Amino acid sequence: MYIYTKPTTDNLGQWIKFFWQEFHELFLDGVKWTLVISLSATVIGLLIAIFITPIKIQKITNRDRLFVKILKRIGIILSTVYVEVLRGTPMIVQAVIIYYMFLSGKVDIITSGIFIVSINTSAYIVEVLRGSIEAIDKGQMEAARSLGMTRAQAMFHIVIPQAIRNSIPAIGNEFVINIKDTAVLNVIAVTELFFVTDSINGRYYRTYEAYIIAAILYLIMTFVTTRLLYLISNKLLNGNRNKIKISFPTSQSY
Amino acid sequence: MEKIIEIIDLHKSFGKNKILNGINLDIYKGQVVCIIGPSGSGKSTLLRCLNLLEEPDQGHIIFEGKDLTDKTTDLDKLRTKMGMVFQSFNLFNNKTVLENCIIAQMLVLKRKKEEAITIAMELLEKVGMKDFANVNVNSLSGGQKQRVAISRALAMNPDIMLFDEPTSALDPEMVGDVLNVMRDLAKSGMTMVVVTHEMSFALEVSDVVVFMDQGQILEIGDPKVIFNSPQHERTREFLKRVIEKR
Amino acid sequence: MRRLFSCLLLGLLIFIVSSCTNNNNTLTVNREDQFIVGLECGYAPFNWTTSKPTITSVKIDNASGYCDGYDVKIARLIAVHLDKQLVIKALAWEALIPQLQAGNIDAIIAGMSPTEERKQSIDFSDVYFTSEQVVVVRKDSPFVNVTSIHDFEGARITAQKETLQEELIDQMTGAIKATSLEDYAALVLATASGAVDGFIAELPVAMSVVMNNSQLTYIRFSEGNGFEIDESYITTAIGLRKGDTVLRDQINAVLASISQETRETWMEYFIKNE
Repeated sequence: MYIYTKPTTDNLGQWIKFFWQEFHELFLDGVKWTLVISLSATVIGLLIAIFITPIKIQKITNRDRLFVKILKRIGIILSTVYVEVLRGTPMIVQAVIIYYMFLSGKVDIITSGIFIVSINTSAYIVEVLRGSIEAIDKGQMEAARSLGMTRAQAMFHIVIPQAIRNSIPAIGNEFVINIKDTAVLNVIAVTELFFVTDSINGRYYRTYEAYIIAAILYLIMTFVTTRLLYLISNKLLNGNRNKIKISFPTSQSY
Repeated sequence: MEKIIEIIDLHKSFGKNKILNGINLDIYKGQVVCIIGPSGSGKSTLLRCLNLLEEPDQGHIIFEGKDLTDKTTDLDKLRTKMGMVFQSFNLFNNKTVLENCIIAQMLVLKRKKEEAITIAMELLEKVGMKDFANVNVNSLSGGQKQRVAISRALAMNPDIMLFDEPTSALDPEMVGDVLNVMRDLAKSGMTMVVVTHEMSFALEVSDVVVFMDQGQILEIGDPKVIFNSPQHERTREFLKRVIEKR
Repeated sequence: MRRLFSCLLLGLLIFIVSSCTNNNNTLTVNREDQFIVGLECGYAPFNWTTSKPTITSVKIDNASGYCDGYDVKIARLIAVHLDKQLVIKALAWEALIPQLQAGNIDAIIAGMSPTEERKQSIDFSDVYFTSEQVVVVRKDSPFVNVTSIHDFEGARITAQKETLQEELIDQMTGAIKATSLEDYAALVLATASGAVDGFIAELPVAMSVVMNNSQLTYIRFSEGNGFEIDESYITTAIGLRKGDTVLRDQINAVLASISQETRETWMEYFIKNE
């Protein structure tokens, strides 16, 4: 029935080797989906955050008309609720609620997985960007305003691009976190690495081997990603002698 | 002479500190006004109130007939007519020299890119920074940055230029270059309000010198009069200290 | 910098779109011509995942790999009789019933027992396998030689979450009910490491477990010493949507054609040939 011989003893090493030989395509498929989901979710989360952060941090001045003040207040409240709820609840709970309430049957599972991780990531990146924006020297905004630019123009053209560049280490960090957190999606049957590992477990009812292999694969993914991000951010630093002020995200394990 | 700015009874506090305590000042078109005084006297705050970077608690600022402190005035539009140069330059770090000078022209004044570039290049040449047009601003020295900052502000065709201690952050060798640019600007008839510690510049170039102390204008008048025969004790003390330092 | 960013973005978008569309490979056939079955693909010998095809396996639709086992064989048989294409979806145990109710799968063939509780949410076909409940313990456990379920004084016993085996623990006098776990692999781990003294499982599953974990064994109980359970609890049936009587009658017709002997032979085959 199988091309490789099943070990007859309880030797952990032999079983690990056997599991890899027998199931490596499945493991690698799980790795692929884990990477696809975490990478796309981080990028999409960043795009969503770039849209939401200016809404969240806008200032209501006494020069605004009442109508504008109300609109701004609504925007601030909605965006704050969005960020607080997504950061304040575990992603596993968000996954189950969002999937079964809105997506099941209508959207395929991988897209659902990407969607769930994206909005979760976006909430964390909003806070990262907010910190970066606040860390940008006030003089940049003052210079822009003194030239006659509106606050929105100054934000969009001057402050936010610099803030994003300064946030790249933190955003890369989000990506690495996402690689591990996608495991949570297994409860809605997203076929990422953890789900695959669990399925494989039910074959020979031996738990250590599959989980050890999975742990090694996760480690390889995060290690490679971390190194790559390090290289990229170094290249950016060298090409631009701007001091990068690093803002760290808060822990978000579920 | 035409009045360009009228400052009426300006008051400003930061928390418990009263920084401006009833400022009244008229600035006329074509004048070069230098504001001098000890640190903490409110000079910078006064200057920053002129384009509403700081919002005064009380009082009015009438610029070209429009009250800036009125909530209904279009501040952004009026700010294009007031160029400001900062002590810490505040050039846009994510843009090149040229981009710094054209971005506001395109976004605010809605000029076409070619037109904006032409205007910018002319100004950059005048300050001697034409060759640096496509350089990222971070590789420039302080003096170079300040000259670019001046071009950036001038590109908007302002009616008045505000300078907030423009040379205080520069190495001594570069101070001269920037002051020369400012001198040329004054000669061309631009209305200028300059907060500075450069006394020789104030004496040479300005039409009016304003001495501030503890939030109030203590003395105001012709530079030669102020420097040679100041009326107030505080003024004399200040000048003595400043001139001794040199 | 801007160009690099937009290139990356474009490349990423293309990658995502192609990956997503790659995932659906059964859309050449109409939904009405598909018989979509949900299973765990992690409950040998009823259903498990394998990376290479065998004569009995079927490609998993929503993941890579193939699903094999007794349940798959039953599913194939039914699909042939219904004249529909069999589509296998691998799902987590808790997701099976919600997915069935949502209409994403047509049947649950996953070694599931037709308990009263489940019957409140879904319907069941006739039984397609009958089994015995046994207790899996370590070979060096103090309980290894017991003969009755009442001999487990002080033993920590566990079972899989949301299964009937959870309730059966209550029948073991003196046994301590340990927290239920996610799946059978977790139960094996808990028992092998000594965190619990044993777990309840169906006989075929216990046989598979013991075959691959030499430090474990299982205990069968003779008549009268075993669990007192409703007939329905020692059986496995196919889960169907409430009111789906047409499908149920069709499936029952197929199941009626498989004799008890055949069922046992097949199960033996799957246990031996994992």
